[in-house]
This record gives sequence, C-alpha cells and structure tokens, in this order.
Amino acid sequence: MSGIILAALGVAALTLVFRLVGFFRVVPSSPELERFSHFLPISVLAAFVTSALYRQQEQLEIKFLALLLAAFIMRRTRQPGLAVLLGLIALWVMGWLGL
Amino acid sequence: MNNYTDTSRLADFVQGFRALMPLWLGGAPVAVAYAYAAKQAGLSGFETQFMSLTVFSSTTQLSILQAMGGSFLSYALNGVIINFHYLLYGVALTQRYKLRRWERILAAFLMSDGAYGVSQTRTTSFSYFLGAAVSMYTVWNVFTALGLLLHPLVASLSWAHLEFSVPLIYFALLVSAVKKRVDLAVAIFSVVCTLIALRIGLGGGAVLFTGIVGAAFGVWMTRK
Repeated sequence: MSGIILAALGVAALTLVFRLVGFFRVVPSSPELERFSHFLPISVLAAFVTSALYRQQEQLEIKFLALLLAAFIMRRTRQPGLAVLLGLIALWVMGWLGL
Repeated sequence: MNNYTDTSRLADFVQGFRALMPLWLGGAPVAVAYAYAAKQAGLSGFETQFMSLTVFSSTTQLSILQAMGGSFLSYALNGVIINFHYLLYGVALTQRYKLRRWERILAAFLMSDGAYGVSQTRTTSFSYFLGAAVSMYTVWNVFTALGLLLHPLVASLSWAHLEFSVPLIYFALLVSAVKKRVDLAVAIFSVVCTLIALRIGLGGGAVLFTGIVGAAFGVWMTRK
C-alpha cells in the first residue's frame, strides 16, 4: 500500500473522529449556543470568501464587481447556480472588454 | 402517530439532492482542479480517486497535495484544523435533528459546507440534509474521475477562470444567510478578522480563527 493511500486513510479516520466529537458531545441547549450556531455559517462563509480571494488577487477589482452582481442576482432569485453563472460571465465579459 | 413515512423520507432526500444541484457548478470545477493538481503532483489515478472517496474535503485534499513529502503529523494537523468548523456543524445538526448513532456517523462522514448551508436555508428534515450531502459526494467523486480522464483538456481552459467559481459560490451562500443587520455586521467583522489572520500568517487556520471569533462576536452583539 502506497504512502499516500495510508496518509489518506489516516487523515480520513482522524477527521471523522474529530467531526464525531461534535455529533456525540452532549451539549445542553442554550440560547447562547443557538445564537452561536446561527452566526457560525456566516463567519465561516465570510472567511472562505476572503481567504479564496486573498489567494486569487489578480483582477481583484473586476472580481469585486462580479461578486456584487452575483449578490444582486442571489437576492432577487435565491438561485445560487444562476448567481455563480452570471458572476462568471460578468468576469469573462469585463476581462474581454479590458476593464 | 408517526406520519413521517419512508415515502416522505425519500421525497425529502430527493428534494435535498436537487437543492444542492446548483452548487455542483462550484464543486465540479474544484474536483476537476483537484484531479489535475494531484496528477501534476505525481499521484496515480487510483490514489487521486481514493482520496476523494475517503477524505471527501476539497481543502483537506488540496492541503495534503501541498504538504506532499511532509510527515503524517502535518497532514493530520491540516485535516483537523480545516475540519474544525465541521465539529461545530455537528453540534448544530444534533440540536436541529434527532439523530440515531448510524445517522450521526454517516452525517459526519458526508458533511460539507454546501450540504450544511443548503439545509440551513429553510425548515428541513435529516433526509433532506442527507440528500444534499450525497449530492455533493456524488458530484465530487464523479468530477474527480472526469478530471482524471480530461486531464490534458483542462489545461486549455485556463482562460475561463473557473477557480473564481469557488469564492462566488461561498459568497452566494453568504448572501442568502445574511438576513438582518447583525448578520451583516458579523459578515463584515469576519472579513476583517480573516484578513488579519492571513496577514499574521495563520494560513489554513484563518477559517478556524474567524469562524469562532466571528460567531462569538455575533453572540456578544445580540446579548440581552
């Protein structure tokens, strides 16, 4: 068995055990925990967007414009797929126009 | 009387599977990009697909590729740090759904940001979450395989900036999660936190740091 297969199995097992801590931990329900659970996806998603853009800093201005357009489409249609598609098309068009 | 029948479970599962389908647009290019990067790093087709089947986490898999040649400890620490927020998702899901033991194990294995995000958008059942989770697992593995097959072709699509679909999809999910002013305040605070964390060199730990600090900020903002 190759080293990378063993590493994949090891990481998969370890991360599964770590995830299960959350699933099997007996946590008494509290208003603070509920509010924490509400805000967690917002803070994590904001972190993902920021760190992804931090790693892709070329054409940052037109990427911001494409993100704004995607936000507008998302607000109006609630369709993430459409928002992503139109955001990508906006990036291609603005890049093609040399903005 | 229990009205929640196998038929309604299946209907919820299918609904969840379908609800995540728009996110395939985000997951599929990342899977193709991962397969391409894995081939470039010297992994065989079997090793590349095996990682997608067992690890099932784009960021963890890509971090393993980046740390290739390092110790198992470096892979393991990366995995734990990147997956930390899944621990909190687990806490949230067990509060939301009443889960049996095998359901918890299955949910922990199949957990993804997309499946968690989709299941938070409205009142849903565990079958709905499971459908969304299986949907992402399927597309991730199918497109890893396609990425391996289309390895030479992918190199010619660099003009399309498909990597930008990743921040776009996260941003679309973020926009749908922000409903009140305090949510917006938490999002802006989290952006600033992430930038600080990246500037001080936290790297992959920036998401973990921001996830906890940003959510704690929200709890503090809404204190009575």
